[in-house]
Amino acid sequence: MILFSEVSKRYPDGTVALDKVSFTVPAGEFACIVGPSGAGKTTLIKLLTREELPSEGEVRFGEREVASLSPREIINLRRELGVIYQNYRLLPKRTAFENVALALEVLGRSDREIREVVPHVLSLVGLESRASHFPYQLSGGEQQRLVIARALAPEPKALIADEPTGNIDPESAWAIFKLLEKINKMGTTVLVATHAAAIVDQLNERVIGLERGRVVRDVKKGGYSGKKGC
Amino acid sequence: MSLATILIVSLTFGATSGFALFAYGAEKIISYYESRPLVTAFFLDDAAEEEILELRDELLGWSEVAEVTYTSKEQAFSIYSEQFADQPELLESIPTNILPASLDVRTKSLDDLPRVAEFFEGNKLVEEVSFYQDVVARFRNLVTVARCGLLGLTAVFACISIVVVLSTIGLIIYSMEEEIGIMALLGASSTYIRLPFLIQGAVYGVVAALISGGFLAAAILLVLPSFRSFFPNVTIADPSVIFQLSLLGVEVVSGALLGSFGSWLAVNKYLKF
Repeated sequence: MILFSEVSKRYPDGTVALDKVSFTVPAGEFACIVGPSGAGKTTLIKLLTREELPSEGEVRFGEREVASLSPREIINLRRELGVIYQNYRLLPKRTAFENVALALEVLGRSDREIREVVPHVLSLVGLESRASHFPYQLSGGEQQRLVIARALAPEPKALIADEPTGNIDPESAWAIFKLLEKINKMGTTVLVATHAAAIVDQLNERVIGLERGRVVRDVKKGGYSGKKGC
Repeated sequence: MSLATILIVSLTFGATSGFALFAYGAEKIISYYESRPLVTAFFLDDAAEEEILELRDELLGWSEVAEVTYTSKEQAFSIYSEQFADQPELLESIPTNILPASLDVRTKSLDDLPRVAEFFEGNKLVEEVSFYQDVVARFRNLVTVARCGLLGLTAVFACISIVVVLSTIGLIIYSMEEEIGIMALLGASSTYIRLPFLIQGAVYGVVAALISGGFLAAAILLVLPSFRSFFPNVTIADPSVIFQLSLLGVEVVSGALLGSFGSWLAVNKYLKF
């Protein structure tokens, strides 16, 4: 489903964010991209969502090469990718319900469909009682769950999470990852960029390790530092 | 800021309404003078009625003459008496045969007037000739200049309005940058993001046009009576309801287009989606 083939990203100031990165994430898989700050995790996510273009190589989502998509096709790509950001990117003047509903409104879904889907998704992430709350009234963990709900509402083919637990406490962070696991078991491909070492160790899922823009490790079942799995 | 934008845009339509009202009044005045006897020849006291009627008959044979009316001295006094019926002291002081007989000639075209005036001026029976050609021609020129001025003013206001709408929408886009970015990342189409701004610009224009409609109604009530006082003999009725509604309709549509255009420029300039 997701393919990175010899992908490099260089910025005008000479910074090399990614250097010949190659890996494939099949449909239905749960994969963690791990590495320290500056390893290139966020750049990798941005290349996949077409927020940036690679300097070299090929990024594919399904059958499509992301870099060569037309503006219309980029819109379709983003509708198929549910993206979860570290800084939430919630709309502060909208309630939890309305933030999730936005993901369906932009797709042109009917009000009736929105009224059916949003409560279901909020329930899935454990926020059914917080539907009328504004983001500032939610804890960090609740806001991140709300972001997951918004990403999940359009039934994306893949969930892409960029440091989803970067701003929250360990207990809430673990709950987030368990939620992502649950979503993955329902059939959605999940790709998580993280440096939450302890959680990755416990999950025992596929781990792709990045350091200074290069893939240094890619194991089917592993821990953050490579001490678990093969 | 939206209120300021609407008020500035309403100036454009206020100028348009003023232009329309001015054009309406001016047309009435021009039509009046063009329909009145435009050459009047006043005859000497000793001019015989038969001779005057011969002149009348000769003029009626001219192709360029539309109408010739003879007013005898008695008829002239009778008209005068009617006009000043509420001032009997004016009637008592003058003899009944003081006013001269006259021929009023209306031509089919203003350009034919000099020939008729020339005809009378060479005649020994005629004491005085008066005609409105110069007055009407000068008034027409004045109206043309005023029309051009008002049209120019409307065009300037329209340009200013577009710039103001562009700036206002641009600021709104800037203030909503984060929200727009989120919508784009969620897969919102370009139309989904842009359309609300285009509609907002159109709304500015429509509301401004409606405000201008209110100005027009006020102008008809307050300004038109003063306008009429300069031309007491001209009947300038209030513009019909159909005229006002038609003008309002045109302005509302124009307002929507003008506002949308300003927004479209802003969206293309400031939105990256």
